Amino acid sequence: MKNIGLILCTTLLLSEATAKVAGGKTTVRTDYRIDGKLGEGQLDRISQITIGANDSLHVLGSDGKVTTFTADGVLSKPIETGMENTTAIAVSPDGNIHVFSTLTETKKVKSGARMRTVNIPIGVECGIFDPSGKLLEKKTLNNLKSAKAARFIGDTLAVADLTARAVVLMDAESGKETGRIKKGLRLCCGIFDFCEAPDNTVAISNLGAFKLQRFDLDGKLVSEFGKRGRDLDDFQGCCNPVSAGYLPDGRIVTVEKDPTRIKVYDAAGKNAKKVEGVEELVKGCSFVPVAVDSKGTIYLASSIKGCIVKCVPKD
Amino acid sequence: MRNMIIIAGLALLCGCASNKPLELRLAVNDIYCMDTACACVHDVAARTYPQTLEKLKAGYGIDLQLVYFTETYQLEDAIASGEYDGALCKPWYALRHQEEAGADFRRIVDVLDPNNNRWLAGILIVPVDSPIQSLEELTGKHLYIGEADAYEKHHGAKRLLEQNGIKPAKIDTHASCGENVGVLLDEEADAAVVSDYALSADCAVDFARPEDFRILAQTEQIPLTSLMLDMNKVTDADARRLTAALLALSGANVPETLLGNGFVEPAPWNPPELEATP
Repeated sequence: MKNIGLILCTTLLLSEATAKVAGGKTTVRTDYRIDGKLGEGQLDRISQITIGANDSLHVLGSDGKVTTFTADGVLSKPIETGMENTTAIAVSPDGNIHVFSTLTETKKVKSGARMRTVNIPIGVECGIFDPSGKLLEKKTLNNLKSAKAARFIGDTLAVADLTARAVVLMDAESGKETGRIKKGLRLCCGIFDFCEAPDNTVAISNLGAFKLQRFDLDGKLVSEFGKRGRDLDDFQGCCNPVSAGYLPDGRIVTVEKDPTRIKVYDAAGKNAKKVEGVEELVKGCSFVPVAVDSKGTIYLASSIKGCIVKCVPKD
Repeated sequence: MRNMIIIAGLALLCGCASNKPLELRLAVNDIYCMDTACACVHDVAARTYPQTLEKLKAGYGIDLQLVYFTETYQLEDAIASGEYDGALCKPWYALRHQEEAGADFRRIVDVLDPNNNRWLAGILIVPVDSPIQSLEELTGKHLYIGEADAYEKHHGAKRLLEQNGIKPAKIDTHASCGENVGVLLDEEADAAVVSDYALSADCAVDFARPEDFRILAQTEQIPLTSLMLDMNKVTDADARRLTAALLALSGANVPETLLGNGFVEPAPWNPPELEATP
């Protein structure tokens, strides 16, 4: 009788966790639900997002504006950095907000029979602001050509330099370069993102290789998962994932652009479950920034819709 | 006088028949189409179809409704669902699902690429500094090929090896050309098969250069892109009408946005794998 009960329970649990999709294939639902959108109609050209003090969410626009939402979703007074082409944002352990601007020069290049003007990255400027938005310091990071993402990993500032095709590691205090993670990166579509991972590591969204790869700060590959394929554990599209984050319990959230799929893997990068109900966040090959707060809330930025989709664990 | 009336009546009937609106819904994935290709190759994959669709509608009364799929797995699911009148894609994507879809696909035209090429092949590549100089030297080596949905780099590759008596020690598969290029860059395999456009019209262009690889051999040539109709849904007359219209919109009359000479009569291709299907 006990066995029958167990079998029934298992069956019920399985039917709860799986859902039929088109083509008769099954997908596994995750324990996340959508909890609305933030900033709808107020956010323009989102470059990156990050979590700040007290689980606040900072949204960086490419126009230099930093919009902040409290953990309850209340909009705070935006920070106008006065910087241009702002492409990355990171919050240091002391709570200060670091905004990175990629400096460019325009050049005319031949493309087929036509000449076109392109912006060539030539350097990175960093503005440091306190949480109230007061400018504390502005400096040029001479060892960088561009900045697509930035994170503080302990005492290290890590910046994704797309031009150098490397995550550049620097001493957060002195700015002195301490290393580069470069090996095996297959970057494409101008997308280059990484996140902080457990044990002072970084996890790089190696989208051209269809992998999420975790490296230590010596540049050694610690772990990896992913390949292109049909299964839910696999990644799809022409190149994915575009971004990722670690949940407080060690699970991993990955983001695929078009077709948009948000999945939560176990800590080993297996047993993916899909977050249901997330609409197409971008069309084509566009970046989807993601951030995860200390409670496991997942924020996804849609630059074309100009909003943040908030996903929370189900009760 | 009576004969004149009969001829006029027939002409009118024929005219009505040819001008009767024809609506067809197609699932589309085209390597060189901006709506289905990755942004990193939009400089070469710049083809768009709306201009051609407008001309088909205005000049021939044919309303082609294209549903674009950037993800080929979704394209194949759509084809297998049997919900479309046809497809415009690599023919294998449709032909291999013919039975499942309850369809009878007929390739009515091939689509030329922007360089007026109609063929697709797999290329067997090694790093440029590899000691391997010939196909024969791959016996006993580690090779990556494509998966079964990619005819040119899976079935075509297997046949190439078989026909030349090559027996690699290990054959692994990856779904994307980028992954196969990656195993060569990472020195995880001796050789790999990729689609012949992989280093010019695929995401791999962002991290691999053609000059870094040597082509050892090429698989058989198959049609690159075809427009196929499900003859269980479309009449023979309508198929011929669309073929004629597409061929008329080719060559000197091709819409500029097709970026090539347009459409040609389909090249014969009978994949033996289909005949093996029970």
